[in-house]
Amino acid sequence: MAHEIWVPVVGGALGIGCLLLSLRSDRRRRFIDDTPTSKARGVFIGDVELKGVVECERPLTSHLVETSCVWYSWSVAEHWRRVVRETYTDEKGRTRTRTRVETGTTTVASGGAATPFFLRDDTGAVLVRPQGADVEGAVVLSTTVTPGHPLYYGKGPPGAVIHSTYQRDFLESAINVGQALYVLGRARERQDAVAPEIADDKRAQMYIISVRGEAEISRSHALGCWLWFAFGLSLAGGTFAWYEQTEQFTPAEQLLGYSALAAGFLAALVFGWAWMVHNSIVGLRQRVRQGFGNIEVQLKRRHDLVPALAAIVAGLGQHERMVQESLAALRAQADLRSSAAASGPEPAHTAPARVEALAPRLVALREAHPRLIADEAFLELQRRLSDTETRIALARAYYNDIASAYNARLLVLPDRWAAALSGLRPEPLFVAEGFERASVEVEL
Amino acid sequence: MGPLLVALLILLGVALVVGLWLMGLYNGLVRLRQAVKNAFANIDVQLKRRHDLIPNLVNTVKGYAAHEKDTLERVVNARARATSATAPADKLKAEGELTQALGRLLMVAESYPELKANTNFLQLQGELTQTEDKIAYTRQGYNDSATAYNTAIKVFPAVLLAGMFGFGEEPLFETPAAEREAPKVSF
Repeated sequence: MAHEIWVPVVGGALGIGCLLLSLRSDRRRRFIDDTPTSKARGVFIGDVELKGVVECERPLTSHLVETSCVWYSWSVAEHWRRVVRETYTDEKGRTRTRTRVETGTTTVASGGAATPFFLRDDTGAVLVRPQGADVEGAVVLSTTVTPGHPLYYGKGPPGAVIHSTYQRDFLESAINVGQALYVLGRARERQDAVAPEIADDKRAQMYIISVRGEAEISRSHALGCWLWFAFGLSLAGGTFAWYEQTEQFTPAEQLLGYSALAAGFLAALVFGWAWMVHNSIVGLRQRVRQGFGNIEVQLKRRHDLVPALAAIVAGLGQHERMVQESLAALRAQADLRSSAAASGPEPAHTAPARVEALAPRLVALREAHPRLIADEAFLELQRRLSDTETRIALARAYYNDIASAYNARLLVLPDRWAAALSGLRPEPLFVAEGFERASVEVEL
Repeated sequence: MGPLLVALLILLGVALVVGLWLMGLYNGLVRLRQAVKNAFANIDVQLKRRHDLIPNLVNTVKGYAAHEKDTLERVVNARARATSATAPADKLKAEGELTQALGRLLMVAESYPELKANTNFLQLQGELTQTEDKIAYTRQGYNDSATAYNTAIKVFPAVLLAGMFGFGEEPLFETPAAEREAPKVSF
C-alpha cells in the first residue's frame, strides 16, 4: 500500500492551497479596510472606494419584477421529484431492491443585464461601468409558484422538466435606481468627458459593487479567511489521520507525524502570513505616497489655473466697461434723436426709414445687455475657485485617511511585527500652518 | 532509468519552472516600467495640447471682443455724424453709414445672441478649466502607473529581482515649492 502516501501529500498540498485562499481573503479584507472612502469629486485615477446613491438616465427594467434598475439577475428553477428503484447487496450477500425518492430543482431559465450608471454623493456623481464587477444586488423577488400563477408561464418557459412537480422558484436580485451602493474599483479617465469613471481593469485588486455596507463586506472576507483556514487544516489533518490509520502507526510514529504536520502547517502559515502582510503594507505605503502625489497634482492645477481664470474675468470686466459706455452713448443719441424727430419732420428718405426700423431691435439689444454684465463670469470664477479648493481638500483628506490607516498598521499587533521585519516607517500627516487655523476675516 | 537520472530530471524540471517564473516576473517589471514612461509621455501630450490650444483660444476671444468694440464704436460715431449733419447730402451719407454700421451690429448680435463677448469669455474659462482638469487626470494616471510599478518592485519576492537588475523607484509627480502656495486673486 506504499502508493497511498500520496493521499496525505495531496491532502497537505490542498491544505496549503486553502491556506493561500485564506490569506487572499485576509488581504482583500485589509484592502477594503485600509482604502479610505473617496468623495465623488475627489475620485482620482487609481484604486478608489465610493459610497453613494444610484442614478441613471436610462435605467433598465428588470425581467421578473419589472422594477427600474441598473443591474439585475434572475433565474427560474423548476422542482422535480422521482422515485428510483435500485438493487443492492445486503450484508448477508442477498440481492435486494429498494425504492428511493430523489428530489431536486433544475434551472430552466436565467438571465440578467447591466447598464452604466452614476453614483452620486454630496459632492457630485461618478460614472460606474458595472461590466466585469462582482455585483451583489438586493433580492427583489424570491417566490415559489404553481402554474396557476401568472408568473409561472408568463415569465418562465413553456413545458416542464421530467418528473416535474409543477412548482417553480422565481428569484431575482437587482440594483434599483436610488439604491445606496458601495463600490470599490479602479478609476480611469472617461473617453467622452473630462471626468473619471469606475470600470473593470485587469490590474484592479478587486472590483466590487454591492448593496451591502463596507463593514459587512469586510466581515464576510474575514469569515472567508477563517473558513478557508479551517477547511485547509482539516483537509491536511484528515488525510493524514486516514493514512495514519491505514498504515497503523505506532504511538511514537503518531506523535511524530502529527507534530510534523502541525509544525509544517504552522511554518506555512507564519511564512505565508508574513509574506502577505509585508506585501499588503508595502502596497499601502505606496498608495499613501500616491495620495501625497495627488495633492501635488491638485496644487499644480490650482497654480496654473487660477491666475489664468482671474485674468479672463479681468479682461471681460474691461470689455464690459467699454460696451456699457458705448451703449450709454447710443442711448443719449437716441434720446436726442427722438426729441429732434418730435420737433420737426424728418426727410423722407429710404435710408433713415430703415434706420428707424432697426431702432426698436437696437433698443431691445441695449436693454437686454445691462443684465449680462460680467457678474456671471465673476460667479463662475467663484464657483471654479471653490471647486479647485475642494479638490485640494479632498486630496488632502484622502491622504490623511490612508496615511492614518498605514500608520495604524505599523502599530497594531500582529502587523507591527511584519512591518518591523521590513523596516517600514510611518508617514507624516498633513497639517495646516498655525496662521491658517485662525478664522478668516472678510473685508469688502 | 537510474535514480540519479530521475533526480537530475526533477532538478532540471524545477530549474525550468523557476527560470520561467523569474522570466515572467522580470518581464512584468519591464512592462510596468514601460507603462510609467508612457504615462509620463501622456502628460507631455496634454501639456503640448494646452500650449497649442490656449493662446489660440485667448486670441479668438480677444479678436471677438475687439470686433464687438469696433462695431459698437462705429455705430456711435455714425450716429453722432448723422445727428450733427445739416446739409441734406451729408445727412444722407451719414444715414447710409449708420444703416451699414447698424446692420453689422445686428449681424454680430444675431450670430452671437445678446451681443456679448461674455459668452466667449465664459467659454474660455470653461475650456481652460477642462484643459487643466485633463492635465490633472493625466498626472494622476502617471502617479497611479508609478505607484503600480513602485509597489511591484517593493513586494516580495520581486524586490530581490528588482535589486539585482537595477529596477529603481520612479518618482511621483511633484510641484515646485513656490507653486504650492495659493495664488492671490485681485482685481
